[in-house]
Amino acid sequence: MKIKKSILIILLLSGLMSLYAEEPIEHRISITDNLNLREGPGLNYKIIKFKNGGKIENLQLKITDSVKVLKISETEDVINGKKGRWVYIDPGYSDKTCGWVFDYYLAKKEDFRPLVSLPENMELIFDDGDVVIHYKFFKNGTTQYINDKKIKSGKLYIEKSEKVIVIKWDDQKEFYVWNDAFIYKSGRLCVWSIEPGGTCSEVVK
Amino acid sequence: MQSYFDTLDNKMTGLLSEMIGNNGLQINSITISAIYYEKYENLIDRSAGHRLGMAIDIVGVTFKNRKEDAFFDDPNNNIPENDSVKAVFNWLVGRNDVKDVYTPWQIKSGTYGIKMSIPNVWSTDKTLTQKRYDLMFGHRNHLHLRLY
Repeated sequence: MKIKKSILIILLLSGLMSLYAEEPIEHRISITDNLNLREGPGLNYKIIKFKNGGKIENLQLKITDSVKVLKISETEDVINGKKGRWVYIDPGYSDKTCGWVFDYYLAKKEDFRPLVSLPENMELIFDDGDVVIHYKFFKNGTTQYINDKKIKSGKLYIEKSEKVIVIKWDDQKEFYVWNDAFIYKSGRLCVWSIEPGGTCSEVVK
Repeated sequence: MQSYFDTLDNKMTGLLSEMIGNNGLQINSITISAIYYEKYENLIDRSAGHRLGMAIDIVGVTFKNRKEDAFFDDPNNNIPENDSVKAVFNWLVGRNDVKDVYTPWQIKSGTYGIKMSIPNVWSTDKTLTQKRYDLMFGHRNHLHLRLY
C-alpha cells in the first residue's frame, strides 16, 4: 500500500514538474527563414520532419514567426562563427510539436528599439482567406491597423539586425515581440507570402 | 448564389465531387455559403481566391452516419471539432492542390506560410497578433477553402 502511495506521489510530482517545464520562459521572433527545428540541442540531432500535402519536409521557422521558449541549454555553442544557445521552442502547432533551434536567429524583446523614421508613407493591403488586412505606415515610425470596426494605432520597433519590424500598439503598456511583425527590406515592410519576395507595402503618394 | 456558381473554377467543382464521393469521409451533404466576394474587386494585385473562382466558404457538412454533422455557425467557438470534421480537414490539407484551409478549429495556409496546422484560438489566446486575431475571428463560423 505504502509503495502504491509513493508511486502515486512521484507520478503526481512528475506531472506537476512537466507542467511547470512547459511554461514559456519568454517569447522570441525568428529573424531568418529556413531555421530548422531539431530533435535535440545540437546539429548532430535530426531535423524534425512533417507531411505537407503529399510531401515530407523539414520543419522550419520562417522569418517573423514568433515562438514560446520553453527551455534554454546551459552551454553556448558556436555555429559558422555565430554564438548562441540551443532553445526548446513551442511554435504553437495544432499537434503540439516542439523542437530545438539555435537562438542566434531568434530576437528577444531587448533586441528591439523604436524606429523613428521610414523613407516614405506606405500602405500594405492584402486578403487572407475572407479577411482583408490593411496597415498604414508613416514616415515618423507610427502605424495604423484598419479593419471594418476600428482603427488601431501604434509605433514601429526594429531589431538590431534590421530585418524584422514589430508593432507596439498604443493601448499596450509594454512592447511584445509576438505583436504584428514585418520583414524589412529595401525600405518596405513585407509579410511572408507565397508571392516571390513576399507581399510588400506600397508607397502612398 | 446560383448566379455565381459558374464563376467557380473546374478544379473546385472537381474537388467537391471528390469530397462527396470519398468513402473514407462519408459525407452526405455540403452547404456552401459563399463563392464570389465583390469586396475583393479592388485588390487588383492580390490573388483573392474568391475573385478567381478558387475559393469557397462552407457552413455545414452532414455525414452518412448523421452523428457528427457539423454546422460551423458557432459564434462562441464552444463546439469542439468532431472526428468527422477533423477527417475532412486532414483530407483537405493532405492534398497537393489545396492551398489554404481555415476552420473554426484549425488553420493551414499555403499562401502565408503556415505549413503545419495551427489551432484557431481567437477566443482564448491573448498573445495573438491583430492580423492573426482577425484571421481567426473571421473564420470562426465557416470553413474557407482555397485551391492553387
